[in-house]
Amino acid sequence: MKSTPILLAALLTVAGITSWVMDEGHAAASANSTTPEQDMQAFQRYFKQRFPNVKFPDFANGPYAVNAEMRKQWEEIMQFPPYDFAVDEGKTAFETPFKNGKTYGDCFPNKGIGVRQTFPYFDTKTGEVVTLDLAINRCRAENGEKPLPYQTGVMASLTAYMSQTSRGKPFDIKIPDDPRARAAYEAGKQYFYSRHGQLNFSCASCHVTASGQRLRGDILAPALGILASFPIYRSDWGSMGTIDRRFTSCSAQMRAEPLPPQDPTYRDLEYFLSYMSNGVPIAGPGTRP
Amino acid sequence: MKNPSRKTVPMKAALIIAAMAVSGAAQAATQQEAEAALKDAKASEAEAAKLTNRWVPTERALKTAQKALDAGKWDEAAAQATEAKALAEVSIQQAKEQMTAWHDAVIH
Amino acid sequence: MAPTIRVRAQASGDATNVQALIQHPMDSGFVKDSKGVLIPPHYIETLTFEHAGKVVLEAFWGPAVSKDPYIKFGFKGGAKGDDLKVTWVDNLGKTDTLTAKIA
Repeated sequence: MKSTPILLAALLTVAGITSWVMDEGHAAASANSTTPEQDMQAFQRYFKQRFPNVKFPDFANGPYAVNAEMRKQWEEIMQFPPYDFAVDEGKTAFETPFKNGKTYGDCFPNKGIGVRQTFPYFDTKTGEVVTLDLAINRCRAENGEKPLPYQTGVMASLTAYMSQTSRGKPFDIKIPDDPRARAAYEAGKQYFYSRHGQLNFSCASCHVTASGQRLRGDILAPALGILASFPIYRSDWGSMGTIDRRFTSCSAQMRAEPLPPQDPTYRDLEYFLSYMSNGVPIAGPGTRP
Repeated sequence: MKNPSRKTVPMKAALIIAAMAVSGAAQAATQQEAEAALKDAKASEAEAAKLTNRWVPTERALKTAQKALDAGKWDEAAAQATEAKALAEVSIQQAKEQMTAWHDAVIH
Repeated sequence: MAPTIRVRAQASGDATNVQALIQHPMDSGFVKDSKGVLIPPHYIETLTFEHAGKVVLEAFWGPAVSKDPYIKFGFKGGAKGDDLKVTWVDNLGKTDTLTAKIA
């Protein structure tokens, strides 16, 4: 059968990649008895040691923090950021009242200005992780409006505007003393480090082990601070994209069937990644290749 | 600490695939065989879904198998279904292995 | 229509450096939408920059230029406080113009 050699080759590659990555110098522990706080300290220590020339807040800038040539191009683009139109659209949408007269500001602390760094949070009432995108649609539902489609469009513009009002504010993610919150955090952590898809990659394969290195034409961003610049105008997309636009496309790139946007698995992943980046300032919206 | 079973698992899967490939594609398939193969593949994919680990190529093969089945092309449907099942089985293998293997990748 | 042109012009010695970002779909006419239907061509054909009654740059764009195009150039002349007029016309006859001050 024609495809068998290809499948065998894929499997051998899988085995090869597995052994190559396993040999990388991560200290291993079989049972996991660390606290989220300990995980975060270890995570940040790892990247600080790996990229000693990067100032801590600069981790928000992903590839531009770890590659001088890319940084030059980024600084050029930032003279006229391509996300400008989205921010304007987002501000208008944010300030436009719903049909019932209420606004987005009524759903958030501080009228929704300068709050992005506290998302996602664990909602102990509903027992789930709430991302900014989910909170926006909950706000709409509470006020009799139809939900916005995730990933791009007005949702991305709204989160772009809200992120911009939080520029410079450090990530401040909390894990309440609730076993469900801890479970969500652990689920996100497990997903981050688990291999998925035919290409047998985990998030860590690229954003920890190969961070700062090339993947085809791109420089891989370190996982520390990786969500701080979202939503992003990605030149590859020619449009804005939210965190779950990137998660679904990353899954597809590993040839793992993408989960629906705002799937609990993705929200748990966002929770874990954001908590790992506590202290890194919000730099969104951002621009990426 | 390396996962001691990681080297043997892909080999087992490779043997499963080799066995399936030989039995699946050599002879012409009947409609019943094609339908059974697709049903079997879908069952494996459902298990992969429960483990949150469906693969893109599995989904593609299932769709192609279904299209071939709808068009009465039993051979192609059976072949695609066999491939889909093989891919689904490997994705299940990966998910099960990763349930413990992921610990080895954690930054400490 | 909301302003589609953003321009920044900076006088530098006897020259002026100009950057502009223009909001436009720049549909080539070759791309299909999610339903498989061809999106009709809609792109800027000409872009003009005028200073003191003279055209300092005229660009002939077309389907090869990407969405929300950005342009950067310099021209001899121009001083702080002068007007710089930017105009684009697309293949559907739509147009927009903006006059900015050179900084």
